[in-house]
Amino acid sequence: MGSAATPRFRFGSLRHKEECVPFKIIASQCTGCSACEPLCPNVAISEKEGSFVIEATKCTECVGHFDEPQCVAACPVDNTCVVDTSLPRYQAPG
Amino acid sequence: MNAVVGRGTYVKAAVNHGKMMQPTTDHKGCCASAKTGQASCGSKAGQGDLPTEIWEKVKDHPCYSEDAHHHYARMHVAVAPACNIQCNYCNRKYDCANESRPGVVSEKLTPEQAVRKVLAIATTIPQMTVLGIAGPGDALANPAKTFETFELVSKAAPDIKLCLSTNGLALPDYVDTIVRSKIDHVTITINMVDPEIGAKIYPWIFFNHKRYTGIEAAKILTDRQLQGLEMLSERGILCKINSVMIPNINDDHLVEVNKAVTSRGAFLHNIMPLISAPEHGTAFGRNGQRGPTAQELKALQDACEGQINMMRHCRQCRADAVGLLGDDRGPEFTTDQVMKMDVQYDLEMRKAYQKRVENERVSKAEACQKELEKLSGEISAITLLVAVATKGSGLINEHFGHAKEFQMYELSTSGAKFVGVRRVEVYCQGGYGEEDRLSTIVRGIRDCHAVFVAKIGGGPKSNLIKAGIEPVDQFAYEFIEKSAIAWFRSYLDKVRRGEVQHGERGDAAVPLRISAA
Ligand code: SF4
Ligand code: SF4
Ligand code: SF4
Repeated sequence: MGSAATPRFRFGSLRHKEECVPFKIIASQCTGCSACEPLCPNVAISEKEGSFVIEATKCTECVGHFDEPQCVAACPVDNTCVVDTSLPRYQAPG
Repeated sequence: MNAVVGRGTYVKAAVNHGKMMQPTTDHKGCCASAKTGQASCGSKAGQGDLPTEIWEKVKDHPCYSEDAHHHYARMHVAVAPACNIQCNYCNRKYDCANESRPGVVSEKLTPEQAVRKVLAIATTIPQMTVLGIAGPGDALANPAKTFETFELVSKAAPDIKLCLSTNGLALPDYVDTIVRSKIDHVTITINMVDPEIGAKIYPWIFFNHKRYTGIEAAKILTDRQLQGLEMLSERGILCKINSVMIPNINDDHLVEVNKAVTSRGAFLHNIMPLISAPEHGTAFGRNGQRGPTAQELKALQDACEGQINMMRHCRQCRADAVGLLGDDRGPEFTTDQVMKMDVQYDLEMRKAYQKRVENERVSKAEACQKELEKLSGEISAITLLVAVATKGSGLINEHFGHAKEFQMYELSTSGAKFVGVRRVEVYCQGGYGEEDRLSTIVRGIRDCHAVFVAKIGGGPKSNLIKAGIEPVDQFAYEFIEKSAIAWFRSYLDKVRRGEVQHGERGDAAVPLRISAA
């Protein structure tokens, strides 16, 4: 349990900061509008070939910085900045 | 503030609007003065009794002066793709090169690319006097790119006027930067001043690192918009308000909006029709929200006209449109092409061109004035609409079949009043679908008694006559107002002699590609 204020956002609520679930951007849905890029407190977002990408090792779900993941809150296309479920922990049973 | 009467005549500054309220019928005409009700064309080609400092700011600005939009051009550079709110009439997911609606832009530029593009276009098209940043997102949701672009342009081309468009959410935070950047016009899109209505237009906003929804979001937005408007007015920056008319949501309410923005010093109010179709993928498009008809739009514009200048020449151009308003030359200046050009910015050439245009504007106003004098004895209650095919410069200089749009004029014994622009598909492309397109045009202007053209083919001519619209080609390449008034005089003659039965015309359809007057 992180010592910082418990984030309201559901994905972050029960995890250690070091164990954060990184977000990813679904490239096929990204408009390339760049709204998310300057908002990331960890400078995890950058442009690659017209679409934006999140560097998984830098993303902390905005925990400790803001109540909501900034990229999710600002993105104009619903379900484009999402939790990266391709990570091993989501593949393992239990 | 008073109505725009005739082209480019801003009759009074906003501060005087209370005193100057008059029924619109009192100052219809070719630049009739609102104070006296007298017809005049304004020897200064449109200043009317607008204070000189405001006239200086707007006279060459195609988006603010109805007269200037016939002669000067603005361009937008798409350096601001991000937005901080969501509107139900916008879909930023798609970039469609064929569509002309707000929020749609075909390329995204860095500030350096943008400046090169501005200089290349300013050198090729001397009438380009205004640079705007208006999206495809929100100029102030991209402050770094927006203000860097303005700074670079004002260094390289100091004669170009700068303007920006915003939804207003971030505006209060940037008022001082706007002043420092020498931006003299700001457009704020305000669709409501009542959060309950706002909640139906804006699903969410992103503010202070949080997403807000519903009435709470709309309340923040309207507070910030009005605060921003007040702050700009205090600092002497001209503010134009854009409103999107959405039937059954904010149509009646826009009269309230008009009052709220007028009392806070807005100088011009532009009410635009919602353009909505399922294939746009917008929330309104998907839920079948319709746009207003031409008559509904005009009725609302008329209802607001006593308060403030109504802007009727907006074509809802694409955010990166280039060239004279409506004449979309964007494709000539793609980033690749611009980067290849060898650009020498020539201020003298531009000044000489602009001087020529000034002389032209004066002679046009004089011709109009002369014709109007001949009308002075006439008494008639007849008011009617005519459409004009024109490429600009205030002349009837377009072939019916090539016209991408028609300028609409309202004629009465007080003169010819420009009331808007209708966009249409180009009819004369030959081959398949020609008949269809022709009937679309006829439907789009069926509220008109006549259409003025430089030339027209036999087929379209008889179609128009069948539909009760008189094709008029005897004024080819002449000044619009002067010709329209001359035609109107002979129309009144014919009515008097009983040769024509004057009747009202129905409402026009505003299908997809025809943005209303
Ligand atoms: S959730 Fe926060 S930290 Fe992670 S990428 Fe988005 S903005 Fe950056
Ligand atoms: S805010 Fe969303 S659409 Fe815009 S660049 Fe970021 S991920 Fe893409
Ligand atoms: S403010 Fe403009 S870019 Fe942003 S959602 Fe509304 S219409 Fe689209």
